[in-house]
Amino acid sequence: MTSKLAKPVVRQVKPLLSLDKEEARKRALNLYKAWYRQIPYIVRDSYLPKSVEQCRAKLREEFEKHRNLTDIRVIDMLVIKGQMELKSCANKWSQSCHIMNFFKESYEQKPKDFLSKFMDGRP
Amino acid sequence: MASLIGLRKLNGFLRPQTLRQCVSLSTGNAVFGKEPVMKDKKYALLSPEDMEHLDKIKSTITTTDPMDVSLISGVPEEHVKERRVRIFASSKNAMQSGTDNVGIWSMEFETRERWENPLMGWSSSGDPLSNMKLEFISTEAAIDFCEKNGWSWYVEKEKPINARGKSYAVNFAWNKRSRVSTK
Repeated sequence: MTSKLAKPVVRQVKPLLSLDKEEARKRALNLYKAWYRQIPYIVRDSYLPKSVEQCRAKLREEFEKHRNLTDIRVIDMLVIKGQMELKSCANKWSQSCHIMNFFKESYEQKPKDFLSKFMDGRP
Repeated sequence: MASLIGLRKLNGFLRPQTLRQCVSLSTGNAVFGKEPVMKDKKYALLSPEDMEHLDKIKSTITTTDPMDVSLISGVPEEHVKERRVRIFASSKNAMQSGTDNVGIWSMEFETRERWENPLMGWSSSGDPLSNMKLEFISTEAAIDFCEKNGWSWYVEKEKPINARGKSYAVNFAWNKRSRVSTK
């Protein structure tokens, strides 16, 4: 089985925002800083049941998740999405319940042993 | 054209200098100084570096990274990490189309929990990908698609079709026992 896209092949692609890795890194850092500075206001204005430190830890975690990304275009797209999120948080388009979704685990491990399967209610 | 007519009218008492002006007017050359250059408001306030960047962004960049859209496609993480894709050759249509649609590869997700609707008895499922069935020309294309979306996959081996020779005429063959008498 040979697949073309999944393997590292040198190819020409259209950029989104950044032309090289350094630029993409700068954009990511800028976004991080903007979030970092906005967090106190977000916590205060949306009455989040979290402290500023907890939110900043979460922010750090979200960025650390994609630490090893190398694809410039994916980084750019994530930066764009992060920017949109920040805007909706800052403008209060997202309410506190939406912001609290960041703290929810999106990926749940499937229960392995019998009892936890039973408690989970899955067949 | 208007200036040309004017020129003919005033020809008698115009000084040569004014005449030249009129002529140049008629040919459309600028007489009243430079026209301001029209700038697109989108680019008017950009610095030269920004303009250069804007030019470069329209061209292409070189990358070696494998294509992976699982992070940005918006598919919930659960449906990227937990799903498994079966890639298989579509079966031959049992109706009269013969082997027309053979050789197409399909992909399907594994079956998740289904239940019967207690009121109407319809079958229900909470799985958004349960009805997603895509067709590809080759296994490679299907695998590429799965890799691109971050799904784990496996390919089911294609079963060879053992075509049995069928003939209507055999029913009436003189040397076979297949002929059935009407009596």
